[in-house]
Amino acid sequence: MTCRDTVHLIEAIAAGDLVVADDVRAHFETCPSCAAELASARRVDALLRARGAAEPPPEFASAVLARIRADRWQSEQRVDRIFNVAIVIALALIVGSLAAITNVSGVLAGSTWVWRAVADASTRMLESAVPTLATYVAAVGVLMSALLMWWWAERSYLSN
Amino acid sequence: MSEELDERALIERCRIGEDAAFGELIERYKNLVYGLVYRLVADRGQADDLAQEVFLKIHRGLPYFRGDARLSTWIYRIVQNVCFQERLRRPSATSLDARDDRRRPLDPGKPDGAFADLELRDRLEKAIAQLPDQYRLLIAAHYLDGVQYEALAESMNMPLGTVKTHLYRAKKRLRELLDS
Repeated sequence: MTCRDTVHLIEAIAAGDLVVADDVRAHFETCPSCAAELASARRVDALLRARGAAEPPPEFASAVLARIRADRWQSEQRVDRIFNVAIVIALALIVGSLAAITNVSGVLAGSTWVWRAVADASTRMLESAVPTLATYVAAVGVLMSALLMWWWAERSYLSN
Repeated sequence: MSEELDERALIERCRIGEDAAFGELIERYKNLVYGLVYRLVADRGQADDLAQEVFLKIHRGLPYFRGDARLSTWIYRIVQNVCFQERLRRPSATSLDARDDRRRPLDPGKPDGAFADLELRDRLEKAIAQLPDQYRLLIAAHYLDGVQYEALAESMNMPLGTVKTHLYRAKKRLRELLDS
């Protein structure tokens, strides 16, 4: 057994990961250089084991929970903003559609020939749908009520 | 086994949004997370901030935690990512000034009381700060609360033998730094 054979075993022996064979032990007992290396490795291992662990401050858990609540609030705010934008777009579409329904001739007057073709088709559809206009108005009313209730619920939840 | 079941139950309670359950999880792991983070950054203020960041990531990630690994293993991985990302973001943030005290060799033969002990510990911390990131993590985790080689291997996605080899090399490098 030579120094070259034992040098790569030193850390494992110092950490207690290796059962030391007799020939290795004999080398450490007779080689001052390897013995010193092993002693140094054991000291470092002992120092590392004795290293104290830092403890978190007493208010750590409450600070984490506060940060989580703030994070959750921010993500809900994002959802809420998207929802509000969706409501505005839906409202604009509904208002625009109602304006077109009640002012078909005005819409037709300002349109181009492409638009006029589309509008003609829409008018024909509208004419066929006139008898059921009340149903559409009721559906829009129900949709609006649902959107408003959702919006109100979101606001109440976030303000809690 | 019952500890594992208990852990699963806790994770489930956290997943359904029970704040008290997450509070319990924080209490259970705060010493481990904070201790590990502090050993990696060596600064109280930064450790506070990063340890909180770790728990925030745990909270966000729990719905996606499949439970293939132990929770603690997954947490080590998060600590590792958070600390290394911070180091990339602010390279000077974790520097203990390691260059000012490298002349005295490690000499345990002259015990001159508590001051020598403190000085030795200070030199050890400075030497650790000079190790590459991965070695520092291994040293920090392995010597904190008896984290086993197997858990380290799993969290670092390395074979067991490689973890041991890295740890031995880290300690050898540490001795060289202390003796230089």
